[in-house]
Amino acid sequence: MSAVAAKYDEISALGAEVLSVSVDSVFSHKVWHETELSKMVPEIPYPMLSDPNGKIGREYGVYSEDGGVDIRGRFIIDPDGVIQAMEVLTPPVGRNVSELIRQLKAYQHVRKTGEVTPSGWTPGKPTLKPGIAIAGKIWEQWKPENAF
Amino acid sequence: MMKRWRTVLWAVALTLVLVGTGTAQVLGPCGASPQKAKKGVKMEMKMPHMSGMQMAKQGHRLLLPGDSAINFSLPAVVGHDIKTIKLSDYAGKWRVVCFYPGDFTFV
Repeated sequence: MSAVAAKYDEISALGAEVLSVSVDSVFSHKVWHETELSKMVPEIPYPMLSDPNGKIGREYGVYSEDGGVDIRGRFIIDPDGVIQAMEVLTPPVGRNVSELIRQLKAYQHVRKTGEVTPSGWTPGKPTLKPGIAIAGKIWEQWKPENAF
Repeated sequence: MMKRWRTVLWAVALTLVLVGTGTAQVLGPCGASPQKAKKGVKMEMKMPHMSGMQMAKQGHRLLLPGDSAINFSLPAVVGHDIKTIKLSDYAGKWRVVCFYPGDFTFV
């Protein structure tokens, strides 16, 4: 979550709010911020939510009964309250914040323009206008190299 | 002797009345709340707590992209304060909800 905090300005500039959630108490969050996070980032600018017993984690399908924790799930929710993307990882591997930002930009582009963003899209790369006309002709506009 | 018996009988009678009317609740196994049966109202079966995997195995659909996010209301540390935060507090905005296993963990 320190990586998310480090990129918060960029996420916030896109008009998005970040909420972090774990089963730890608010007191644990406070002490974790004071003793550890503050050594990595100046401030945690987003709310750190407490989900005791994983009640909300269960509703989002990320609560682990064996571990008693909410595992590493990340949900991108649009202004209409619809989940557009989710990524769930087991605890040992951290999330990629650059990918989170890329997806956020892509979904915002889709919402604004109605175009679709092919694999690996970043701003400036070709998008596609969905329609019967381009069926079978994607290769004219987009190549796999565009994904990297 | 008789006085004590009368007290016991009153206590038993009172308990029966209270339990019968649902005012006092006898806890079921594991301290779970019993389901209250209301007259004329279909008894609601509360879903037992299950993990996402268990729900999937039992045929309950998991929350997936395309679904509406379930609203929640949780205590939170916001700056130096403790506040209650709802997902709906940010309605009309893009939101990124990040679950993580625990404070003070390695990753």
